[in-house]
Amino acid sequence: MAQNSDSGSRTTRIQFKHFENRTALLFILPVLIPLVLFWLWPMTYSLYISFTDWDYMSPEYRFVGLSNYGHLLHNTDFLAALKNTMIFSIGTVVPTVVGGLMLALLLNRNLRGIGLFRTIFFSPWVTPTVAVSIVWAWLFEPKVGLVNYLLQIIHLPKLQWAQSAEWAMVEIIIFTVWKGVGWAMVFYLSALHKVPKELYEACDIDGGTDWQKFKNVTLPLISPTTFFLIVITTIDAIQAYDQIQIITQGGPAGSTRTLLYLYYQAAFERFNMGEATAVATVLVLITVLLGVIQFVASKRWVYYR
Amino acid sequence: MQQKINEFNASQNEVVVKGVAQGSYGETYQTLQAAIAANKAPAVVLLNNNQMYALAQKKVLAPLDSYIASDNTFNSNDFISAFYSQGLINGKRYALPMYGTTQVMYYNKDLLQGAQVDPKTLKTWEDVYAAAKKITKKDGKDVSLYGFEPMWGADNLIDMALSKGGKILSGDGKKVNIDTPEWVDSWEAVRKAIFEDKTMRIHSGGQGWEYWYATIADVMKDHAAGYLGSSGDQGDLDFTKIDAEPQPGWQGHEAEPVAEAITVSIPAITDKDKQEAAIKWIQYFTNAEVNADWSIKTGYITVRESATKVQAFQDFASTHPQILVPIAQARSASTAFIDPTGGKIMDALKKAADKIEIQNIPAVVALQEAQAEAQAALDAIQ
Repeated sequence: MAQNSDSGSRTTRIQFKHFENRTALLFILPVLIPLVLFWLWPMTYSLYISFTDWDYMSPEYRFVGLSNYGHLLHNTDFLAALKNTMIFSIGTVVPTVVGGLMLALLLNRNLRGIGLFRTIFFSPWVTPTVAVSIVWAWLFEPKVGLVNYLLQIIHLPKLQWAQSAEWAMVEIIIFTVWKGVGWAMVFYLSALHKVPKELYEACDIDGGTDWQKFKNVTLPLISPTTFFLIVITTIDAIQAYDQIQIITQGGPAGSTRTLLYLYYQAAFERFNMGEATAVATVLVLITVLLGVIQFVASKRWVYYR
Repeated sequence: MQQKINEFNASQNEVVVKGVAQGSYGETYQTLQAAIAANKAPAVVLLNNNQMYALAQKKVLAPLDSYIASDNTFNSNDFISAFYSQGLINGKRYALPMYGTTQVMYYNKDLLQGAQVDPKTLKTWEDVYAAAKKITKKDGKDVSLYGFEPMWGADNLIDMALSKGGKILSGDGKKVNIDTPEWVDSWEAVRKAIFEDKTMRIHSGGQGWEYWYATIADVMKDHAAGYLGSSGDQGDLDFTKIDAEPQPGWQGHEAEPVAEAITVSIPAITDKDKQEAAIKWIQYFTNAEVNADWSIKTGYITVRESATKVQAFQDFASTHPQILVPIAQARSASTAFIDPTGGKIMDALKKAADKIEIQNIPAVVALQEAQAEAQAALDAIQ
């Protein structure tokens, strides 16, 4: 009898669990359907295409195994784009995060009109990349651009910027940092507000200097924000396209051709979808790998309260 | 083009053409690929040679042979042969030429006269370089007047190499030949003129055609004595100030720059009745009178010999002789290069051109790098 009631209650529990699961599934369906339809399925299909020689239009295509990936390893364009992507990522992530923190420290005080400054620094983030890219292309114009004019005033040589392989990438990095630094600042401002005042007071009682306060209190307590910004700006850097398309179109001589731009050219200029999706897959793998490395490394330096 | 479409629509009541303009041939091609992939293509498309060839190879263009065979008035001998041969692939015709284009020399008459240089005597690139030295004016380190300006990019440089006897591929199509002496010498001459003699310069980068118009502006505003540009520039140029001449050859070698027709094709997925309507529009645009009028208004080359005999065209040519320059050049030109790798050989040449014209890297280095890259791309498809 007891046994019966026990098994009966287990049945009820299992039924309830099933009911709970179904209800849960019902609630997440509205999000799950577009996720599968517009993200998981295209990604899986794109992986499949990377093993073919499909040209985007022909109904027939051949299965070519790993040959698209094999070609990439010997393709000088791919290796150059990989190097450019790394340079661009390091060149944008570090200044954006460090600059964002510096701006936040500067603007983290209750002065009159401080809100206006915050708005000014944040505004580049909300302006459309394509439009401001054109403006920056004018600013960096070698002959009549404002940047070279300012360089001349301080007795520095005029640079060729987007028209030279040495400086084109620098121009794009400067633009990208300018656009992102205010955005990073907003996150840091919010993080700085959350640092408990008592910790600074305790530090004062112990006779700590400003630098010690910053190093031992501020930095550890805003480390989750730092970690978040590094991950997001790295992903952003790997996906940079708009500003490159507008300012340099990957030139001169391929010096600003990043992996995503190479993917675009393979897909929509040469219509070699197999090669393009292979590049895209490598891009996803790099992003995942960097994410994993950052998460593992974060255990050592990110402090969650 | 819109004007021609309106005239066609007004000329008959069976077919209505709706033109959809794109930003460039590249954009047209991208939009068309997406349309074909989605099974909703336009009835008729305008393509450059490489694009048309690539689509024909993929069997997504309709063969036009049956339409041509059923048209009693069609006279293939009337088309300029370099242009007409473009649409014939594996024995089938996939395109007809709409208008032709080639790069010709444009000179600023006053500046050449001031330096006592007769444009008619500039028959070789050696002549042009010598004249450029004579014309160039410098204020200390700054150049106030350049002798000549090539147009940024690989096209002009490729023309120069072909005119020196260079070839992009070997006869059997298995080997890339872009680092031979003909290529290295002709490209190195440009680098030297830009960076060492400072008798030439290029405008590069910017938005869309910005560099192109900056080059034209230099010649129009007396900052440069000449440039190498498209026959289609004639619609924008002031010929009271500018003179057009065919491209020069080199000492011991006749000029052989590329002349290419922009062609018109019909996507294979287009319905039969729309295909027939498209043919009517193509027939209209390529008839002698319409083609002559198009050439007068744009400077592009007529694709029919009979168009040059149309009275309106002859009247125009008598007062605007520059219109005959690209036509004369087209008759002895190199045919447009078909890149068998789908663009990688051209990409290698484009990068080499940047290295020479922007980075001042010796032509032998830039072209050997391009050769290795282009050969690898060609080997990969063989």
